[in-house]
Amino acid sequence: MKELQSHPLVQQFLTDVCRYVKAVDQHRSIKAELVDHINDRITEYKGKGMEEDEAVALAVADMGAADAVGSELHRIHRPIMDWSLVGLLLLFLAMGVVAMLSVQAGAAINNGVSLVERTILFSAMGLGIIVVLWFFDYRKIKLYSHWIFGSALMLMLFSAMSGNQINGTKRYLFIGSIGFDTTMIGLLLLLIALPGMSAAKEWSARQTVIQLAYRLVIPLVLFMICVSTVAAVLYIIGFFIHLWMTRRSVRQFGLLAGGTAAIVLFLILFGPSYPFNNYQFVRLTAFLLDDPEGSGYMTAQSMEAINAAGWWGHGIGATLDRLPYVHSDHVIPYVVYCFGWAGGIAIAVIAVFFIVKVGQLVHRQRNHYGKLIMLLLFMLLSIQFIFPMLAAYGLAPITSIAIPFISYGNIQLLLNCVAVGLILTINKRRNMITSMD
Amino acid sequence: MKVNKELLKGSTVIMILTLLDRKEMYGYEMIKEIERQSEGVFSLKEGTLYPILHMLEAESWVEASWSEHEGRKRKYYVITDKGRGHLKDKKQEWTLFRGALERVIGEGHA
Repeated sequence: MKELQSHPLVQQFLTDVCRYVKAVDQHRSIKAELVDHINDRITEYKGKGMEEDEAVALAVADMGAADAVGSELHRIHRPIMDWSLVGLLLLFLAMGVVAMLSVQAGAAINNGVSLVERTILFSAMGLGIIVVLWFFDYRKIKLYSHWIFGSALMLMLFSAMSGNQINGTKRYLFIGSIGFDTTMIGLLLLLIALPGMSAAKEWSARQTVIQLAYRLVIPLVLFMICVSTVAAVLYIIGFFIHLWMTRRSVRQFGLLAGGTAAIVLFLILFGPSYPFNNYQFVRLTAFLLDDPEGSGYMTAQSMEAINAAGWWGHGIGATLDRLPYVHSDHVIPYVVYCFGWAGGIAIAVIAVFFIVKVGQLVHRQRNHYGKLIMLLLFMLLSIQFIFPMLAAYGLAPITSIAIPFISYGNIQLLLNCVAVGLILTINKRRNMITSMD
Repeated sequence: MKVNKELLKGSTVIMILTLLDRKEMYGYEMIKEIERQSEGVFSLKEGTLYPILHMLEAESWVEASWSEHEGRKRKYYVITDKGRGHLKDKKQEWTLFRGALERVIGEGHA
């Protein structure tokens, strides 16, 4: 049998078919399947008394034209680029540049760093990352999930021990003049790693304890030491999603969710960062108690800026003195102040398109592992989009979440590009079905 | 008599899903079975079966697994619940179509 597989006619046919199929990693399994078929045919013909060469020729002819088979296979396995998501991303990046132009033009003091140049530079780097991820087989992440998870924990531990204190948090490290929030890097890495680690349905009683300790308690404690409530909350949501998507039964999920909630409550009460004197907590109470004199002050200022914008705003480069950080935390009220309610509505509509688009891609994904990663990234991106927009108009508490791509982000911009790049590359393989191994 | 190619394409999906609804099969087995049951009316170019199977797999209507057979890899297919649902729809559609066609063609003879 072996020598038949390498019969030149058969080889020629397989090569001809695969020439049309661009998804190279599907070639091996396509060839194996077709060879199996052709060999069965040859055996049958030889059983009817045919000579080998005749049997081979006839069996190959039975398969039909190689170009027809190859191009049909290509149509199914072809890489899928979602251009509409890329288009929306480019639109956001352009908005970010315009927003920074405006901030820079309106700034009374210039501290030397060109926001516009930095934003263009980091946008280009972000697009570069997306191109690299496009050629990367995301399924390889699965093998390294434990390493990714461990590295994220080490990074945050390092930050917790040596990080610079900014606004009472320890989550920033610096490379030159560029500071980066280690908890947001850690969060992204942890969320990418979660789906590649053991599924909840595989956990024994003992495993459950170990998994909750390693994958829930340790990350949360580190987030708390670094004082990053936002990252902690996003991680808890991601962890719940992971539990639900890999559950053994609804009952098991219920038990694990209860356990998770108990652990979170315990950590809030007795954990390393006592939240009642944490500024996030102050902001939250200000929001709940609707106190415009206290920390509700920012919200009131933000709403006032938006109300004062009018339909068409005060034009590019307008100065808004009543709010700090108009390039990052308060970029939404600032942009609305400059470009009016029309500009604000345009941003909101495009953000909704973006979220719906990503949601559709998650829904269409059939590979369970790919779907899990996409779902966690969908959660991460959509909350980052929705929360600052609601907060700008007092519909949610102001947090340290800055809207992706539009706000001045540097490293955060790159992280969001990694998320979009992964979504695109996972979607690319939507139809590339399981290979042999 | 050989059947028109386009007509064959739509019906091939129903035939394949029906076969896989009965048992797990591999490609060559399906070709032989279709030939046998249709008494040679449906004899498709065998290579075109595989794009169809891969499409069904990409749609999650069938699931595939590899196993070793006489020293070579063989890919087996089996229908999924989603595939059963699709098959049911397609069969209903076909029954409706056949009924309508028979009424139209049959009129002359009645």
